Amino acid sequence: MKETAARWLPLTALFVILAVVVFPFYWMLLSAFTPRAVLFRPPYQLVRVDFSLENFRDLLFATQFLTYVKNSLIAAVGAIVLNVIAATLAGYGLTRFAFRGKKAFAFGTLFSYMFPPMLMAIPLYILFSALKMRNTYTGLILSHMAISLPLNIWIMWQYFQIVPQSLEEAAWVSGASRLRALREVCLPSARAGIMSVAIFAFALSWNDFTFAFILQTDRHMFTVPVGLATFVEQTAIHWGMVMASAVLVSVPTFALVFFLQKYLLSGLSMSAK
Amino acid sequence: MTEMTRRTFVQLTAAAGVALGAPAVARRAHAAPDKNRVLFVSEESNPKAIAVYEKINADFEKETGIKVTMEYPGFANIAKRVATLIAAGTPPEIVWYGAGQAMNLALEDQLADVGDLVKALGIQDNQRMIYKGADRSIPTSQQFVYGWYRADLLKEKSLQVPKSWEDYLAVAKALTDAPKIYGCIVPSAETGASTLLLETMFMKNNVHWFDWNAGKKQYEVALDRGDNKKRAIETLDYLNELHKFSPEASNYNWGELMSTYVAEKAATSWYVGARLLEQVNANNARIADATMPFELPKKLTEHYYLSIQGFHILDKSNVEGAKKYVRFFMQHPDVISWYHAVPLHIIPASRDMLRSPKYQDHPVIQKRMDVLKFLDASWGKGVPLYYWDGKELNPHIGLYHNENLAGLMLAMRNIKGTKSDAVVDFAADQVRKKMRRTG
Amino acid sequence: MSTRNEQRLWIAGTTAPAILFLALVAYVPIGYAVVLSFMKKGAFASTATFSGLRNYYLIVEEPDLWSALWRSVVFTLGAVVLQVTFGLVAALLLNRAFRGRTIVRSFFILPYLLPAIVVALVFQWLLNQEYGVVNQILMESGVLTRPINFLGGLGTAMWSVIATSAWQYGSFATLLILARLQAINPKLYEAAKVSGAGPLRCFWDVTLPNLRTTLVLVALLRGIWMFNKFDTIWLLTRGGPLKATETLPVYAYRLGFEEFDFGMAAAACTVMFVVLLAGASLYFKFSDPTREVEVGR
Repeated sequence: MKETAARWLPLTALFVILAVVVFPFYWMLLSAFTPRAVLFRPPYQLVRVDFSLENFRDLLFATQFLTYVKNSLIAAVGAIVLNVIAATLAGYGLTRFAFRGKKAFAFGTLFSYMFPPMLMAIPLYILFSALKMRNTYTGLILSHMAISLPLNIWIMWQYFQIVPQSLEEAAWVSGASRLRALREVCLPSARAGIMSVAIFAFALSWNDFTFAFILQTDRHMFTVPVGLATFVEQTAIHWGMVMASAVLVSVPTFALVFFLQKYLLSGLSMSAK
Repeated sequence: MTEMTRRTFVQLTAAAGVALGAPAVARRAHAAPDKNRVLFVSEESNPKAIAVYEKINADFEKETGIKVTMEYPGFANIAKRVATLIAAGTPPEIVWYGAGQAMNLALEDQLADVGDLVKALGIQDNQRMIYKGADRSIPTSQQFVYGWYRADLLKEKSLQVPKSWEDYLAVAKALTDAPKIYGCIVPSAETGASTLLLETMFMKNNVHWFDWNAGKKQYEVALDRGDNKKRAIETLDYLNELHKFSPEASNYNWGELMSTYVAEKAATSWYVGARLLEQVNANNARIADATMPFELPKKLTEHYYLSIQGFHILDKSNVEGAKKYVRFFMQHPDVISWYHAVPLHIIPASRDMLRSPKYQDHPVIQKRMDVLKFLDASWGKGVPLYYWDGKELNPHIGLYHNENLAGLMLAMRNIKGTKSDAVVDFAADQVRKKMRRTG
Repeated sequence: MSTRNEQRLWIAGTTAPAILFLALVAYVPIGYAVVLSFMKKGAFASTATFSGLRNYYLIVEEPDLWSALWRSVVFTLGAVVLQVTFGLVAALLLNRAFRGRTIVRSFFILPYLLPAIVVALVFQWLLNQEYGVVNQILMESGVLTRPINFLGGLGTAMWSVIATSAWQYGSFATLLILARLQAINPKLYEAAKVSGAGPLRCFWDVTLPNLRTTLVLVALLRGIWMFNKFDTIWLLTRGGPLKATETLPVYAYRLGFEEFDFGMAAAACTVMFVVLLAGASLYFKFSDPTREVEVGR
């Protein structure tokens, strides 16, 4: 008796948790494919088949959603590239060399991670205005660095700590320069870490609302979060269209997560050490 | 106290950290406005309106060589956007939004004198905004608060369109079958929708926030004095009664006023215009023909909250270019399409235009001429907040209006359950406190 | 191979990009914001006057600040406890191998990668009092007779906001804990089972001690993030109703963008920051990041 409970309990618990996690996605998906006329006549059937693409049509053709996606992607790719370069170099430098101020560096990194992004945005706005960097991709990417770089430096620091120096030393012994050793020995070993950094940089940039909202004022430069916020204004909330956009935003993220899971997990376990 | 300019500011930060280009920041901060550019920040974000702007801007550039850049921050964020731009030393040339909001700019001496344009365009007196002896606003359109009801549901229960407060309460009660459907919507939150409802009902009951002290030549808080206070309490109590036949609405703003009605969860609603009807047409056309306008019930007066939108030109910008643009805009043949972007919702400032066949020549308007006739019949009963308490422009309305103090009052009364006299006292105190802080 | 100067070049070359970026986009704004907190600057004023500690005096007198601080603590604690608990339970359950594991795990990671606005909108749609499906299900199944105003009710708003953030970030905790769980040496479990320990004992004696650092780390990381959280709460409730969900970041935002007092807003943020500093020093007590970790541990 106890054994059956021991067998079924965890499975039921998992099922319940899964239901809680998945239901919002299910409802979001269902609503996205529901015509407006049905959406504004509650109560709803939980399982139904009035499939309609009108919300997606409205979203893609009557709004600038595609532009927003393009902008979000450009910002995210830029953030990934800069984060990987800066964090990898920093991680390497911090673990391979001895110098004073490491603790200060660590503290300084954590320090900047803790400051509320919301008020960093104003000074950045003023600075970027003067440097004519508002409404540019560069400005947006740089602002996203503020929230992702500290975490990523941390991750790469931990990663390089477990890449043994012996591998590099072997390369030096066989005549390779330090730079070559870094490129051909270290980086491949730390590949998992780099993937994690890329994923976090992507996530934090893709999700950012605050900086994009304050720095990008030109409609053509809006990112997805800011654009979505404009759907919900003085007009009645276009729930169908909002859910359609939520679906479109989730599907590529889901694919990314499905295929790159192991990198995410190893990255997270590294930063846990 | 040392006066610090922005330059010293930035240099301080540069000393504290690492700042590339800090000297560049300082130099650029004092550039003069570009005579060949106009930055136009507009509250309207309707795609049709935007199309009109782009056409007119293109024509304007062709004729004058001045490039017009648009920004559409959206209704909820435009004040913030303008504030950020001014704070950064790059004020926009033109801001098109509510005169009430623009008054904040006027009070900080940020608005240019546009008397010449006002005269040229023949603006009605009750739509002007005058500060320090000069016109600061060029009205183009107005909106006022009125109700919408489901004619079919009223007919079903043999109810008449309510004209008095008691009527409305009775009708709301009769139409309520919670939680399936409610008789009315009384938003009770710190939002614009809630604020406008209380402010309009205050007007219906002749309640004034301020009183003009002729001796001291200034406005003083009067909400908690004498008969005025009694009427304020009466209004709050009434809305509390009405709230029983409304969804809790403790986080309702404009969107919810419409979506709850469109989803057939409320038999009557209200809005600051005909956008509600547009949303009904777009999302639940079934009930469109039964959706009718009505004036919110009167008590002592028939006044309602009047919102004026128009062009406002910022003083430290390219004023000359801006004025040229406004003149060009208002005389451009496509300006009627601009008014038609959300037909019937934004009412032309000119009654002549409302009655003109050119304006009326639009399928949506033609289909609902009853709404246009309703608007014409209610013309002139509206009063903008800053002229409600007296002939002089009341500079203090922002203190309660912009921070949704009226909405907070409704929330305190209907959600928290605070007694009406305590709510009125609290509100009056808040306004006085803010007056002391800014004054 | 590495002369003194070459070494110096390497040190500089590798750390310079990171330092430069951090300086430009983090330190300079932080510096400016802190300076701003000592100034009186309205939104429209293009100059600012030095006002010393005035903003701090004013803000400490504001009852709103203390309420906001309290709400921040409530929100942070509630969210962290819920997220860590959820994370622990989910990780334990996911640790077994079963078919479809990758898909299931993907669903868990997904909420974390969604923008806050998407989560906020979906939950507003779900939890709506008038036509939200959650209320519909609860009423149709007889649990409720009247719908609950989840995001708008005085008593329910804070919990709804905590629950939404738990849905979004609980997965982050799940992943971290799961990763650590999978790194626990299975031999330890075998040893415990051999000496007769049941599943509960195993958990207590083997799993928990090994997870301890991870749990603390997750709690601290999430704690910092939740304490600073602005967008989710603001997008869900705008701090309402009647400030029931106005945490410190929302309060600071209101000061800066609704009351247009940037000096006060900066002061509020600095207060937040000082509170967090205490949390950070706690973390440093627990682990020293400069310590080299042995390979294979």
